[in-house]
Amino acid sequence: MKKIEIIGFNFSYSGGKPVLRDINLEIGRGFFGLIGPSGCGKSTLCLALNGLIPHEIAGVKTGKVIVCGKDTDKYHTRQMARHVGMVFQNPESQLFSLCAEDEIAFGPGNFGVSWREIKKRVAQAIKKLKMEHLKNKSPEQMSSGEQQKTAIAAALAMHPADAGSDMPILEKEKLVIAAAMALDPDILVLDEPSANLDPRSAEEIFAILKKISQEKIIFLVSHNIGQIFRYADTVAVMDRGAIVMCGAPADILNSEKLLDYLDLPAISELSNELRLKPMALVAEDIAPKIKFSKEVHFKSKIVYRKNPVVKVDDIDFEYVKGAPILQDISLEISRGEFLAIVGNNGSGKSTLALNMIGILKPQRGNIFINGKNTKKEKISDLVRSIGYAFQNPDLQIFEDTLRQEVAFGLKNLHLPPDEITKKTTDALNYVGLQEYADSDPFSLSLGQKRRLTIASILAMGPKIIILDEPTTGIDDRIVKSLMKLIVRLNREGHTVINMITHNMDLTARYAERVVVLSGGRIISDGPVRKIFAQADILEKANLMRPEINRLGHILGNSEVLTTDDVLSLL
Amino acid sequence: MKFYEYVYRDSFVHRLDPRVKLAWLFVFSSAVFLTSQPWAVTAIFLSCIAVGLLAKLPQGQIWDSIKLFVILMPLSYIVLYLFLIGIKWQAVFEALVFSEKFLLLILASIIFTMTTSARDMLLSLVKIKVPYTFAFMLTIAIRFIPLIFKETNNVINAQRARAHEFVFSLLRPVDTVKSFVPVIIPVFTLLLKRAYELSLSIDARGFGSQKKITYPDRLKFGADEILASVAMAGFLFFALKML
Repeated sequence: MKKIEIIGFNFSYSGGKPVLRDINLEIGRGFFGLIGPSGCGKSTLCLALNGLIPHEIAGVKTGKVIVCGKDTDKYHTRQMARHVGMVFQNPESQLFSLCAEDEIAFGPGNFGVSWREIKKRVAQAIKKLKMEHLKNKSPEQMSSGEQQKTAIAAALAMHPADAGSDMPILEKEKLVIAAAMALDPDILVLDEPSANLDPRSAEEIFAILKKISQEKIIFLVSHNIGQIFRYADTVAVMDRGAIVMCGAPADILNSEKLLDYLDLPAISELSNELRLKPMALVAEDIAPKIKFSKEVHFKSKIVYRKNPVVKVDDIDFEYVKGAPILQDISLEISRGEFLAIVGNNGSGKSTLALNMIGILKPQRGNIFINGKNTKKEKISDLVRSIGYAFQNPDLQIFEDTLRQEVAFGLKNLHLPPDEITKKTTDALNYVGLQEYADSDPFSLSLGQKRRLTIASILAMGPKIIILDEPTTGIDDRIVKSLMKLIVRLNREGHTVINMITHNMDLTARYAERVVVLSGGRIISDGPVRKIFAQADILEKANLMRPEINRLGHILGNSEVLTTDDVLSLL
Repeated sequence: MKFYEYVYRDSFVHRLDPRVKLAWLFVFSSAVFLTSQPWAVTAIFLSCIAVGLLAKLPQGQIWDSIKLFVILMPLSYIVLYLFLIGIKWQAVFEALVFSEKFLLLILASIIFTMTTSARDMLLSLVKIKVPYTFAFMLTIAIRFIPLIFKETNNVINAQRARAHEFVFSLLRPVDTVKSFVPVIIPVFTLLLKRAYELSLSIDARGFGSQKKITYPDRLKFGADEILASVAMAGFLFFALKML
């Protein structure tokens, strides 16, 4: 029996353009991976699988979605929940209990399953996701990985599990999954379960899902192309609402057509350059096939100038007495540097950034921006020198048009109206949003919103720009175009400070200098190649080498960072 | 200082059914106001400290949060009583007993909240027949309030990073409200989005698919609870009748 059957399905949100177009899919078993550019309709398709479309989400639809023999038109999500466990994109807002155990017990509880049976399912889901240590933790105290695990476990526990199956999954992420599993569904739908995870945790989640896929259907949407191709049994590619490719992962990966829709991970691009078939997904796929014939020490290009634009002079910072967030931080940044500050969640990156722009003041030590002490300057003066673009654009957007949004900061600086108009137009042109100048910012895509936040900072004229995770949640192609903008800013004399949690590919490709934060201290600071050559530092900060660097490491040169580096060594 | 937060410890008091602790809180704090026997009040007060010690609560942290009361309350009552009763030792004595009663109220509430997790509290509500949906709503509120604060703080920082200055002035109410618009709109947008996502995921887990709901049945009224209740009743009888 086909567990998931989608026949001629079309959907558009009320008053909007078609989001899904003529989708036809049949899935009987195993691990199904769906990829495609941001905004192609992947998430919307997930919402159709458990009846949220059409029952909870307003829009126009035609065609049929039949899951486990039930037509979603006739069965409400509440009923479909018996068959379909769903794990949504944002783990934070789908966990509503005060501890993991209650979260997982919630789903089966709604079906009136006996408390004894629930306890059994909760225990099984927790075991499968390897999250025993999270049982009594509240979602608030978890990392996103832990939350995700819980959500998956909660979805799993919704249907009765087989005895004796022993499967492992990460914290928030783990929690979300565990919660979905507690309902013990036949089908587990996951929308970007690895979006907030570090590479190691993402790998762990995929491995757990792979095991679960032996007994349940896994329907997974992700931007982690590498992992999808390695773990899925079937891969489908979606573009502008239609499924354009569908088949075995190896066939799709090696088809030239794929490149029309998506950018591949750097390691796959390398194997393309080297004309190695089949396409590589991890360093080990290429390592046995090539050899470095030259020994080269790459030069680092950092130039330390005399007058740093940012000087952090031995600071300590704490929100609550006795719980230091930053300790003994000293850092000098020269004009025109491209710097990455990397470190896990909770390592103190955002707190350091807020200290640099003067919103927070260090308890000990001083920070100088262009020689001026942040403790003595007004924020309205500091923003002319240093700007901070927050990760989530929704934190700042509140005006009716992009133009007004960008003008907001300028008005706060009390500039004359004609200067505001000019600077606003210039900034929007610079980031390539001029054609949307008079539209509603809420209608923009996430990638465009990021550009808007950069424009609203740029307009105030700072020469130092701090970007907090500019690339999370958007696909590789949009990341590249955004980074192009940032590189251009840097070439034109801006100092760029990039805050990065997980994306080491990005760090390796763009940063000249890397500062590694761990537990509120700087544990390493130097040229990017030197950082990736230090295995112990990476280990300590829980960072993973990007694939290309790992390839270099395997072949004996840990300073390799880019495709060009590899080519130059052959 | 957040003295009201649950502090996890492996102790007899922590393990007790919240209903027993709730009863203790109410009965003991009303008992001190029903008696005027100084020794009875002192005994009850000391018993409260004993419960705190039994619960292995962080003494330094509790002291930090109540030291102002401990110092200021007796002092101010002494001054007040000296006025009311006249300059006699009795005034000082009575003031001290009266302060003891209020300090007990504060201390007992702190011990209760520090030893009872919100989820156990809510389960005990369900046990005393508060509708599950209502308890569920409370759970969601407790879970999301800290998140709302965090998010609001992020929005404030994001707007300050664009040189926005907030106005706090009773004399300029319109300006004050206006200066908060750049915070209120994003916070509401974020909250609505969150609420929407939350409602979808509650649906996806089958909430409301049928009337009968099984909720965690973790609380048990066992030997420990009976022991604690008997000890409480016995002690009160002794304190109020014998002293």
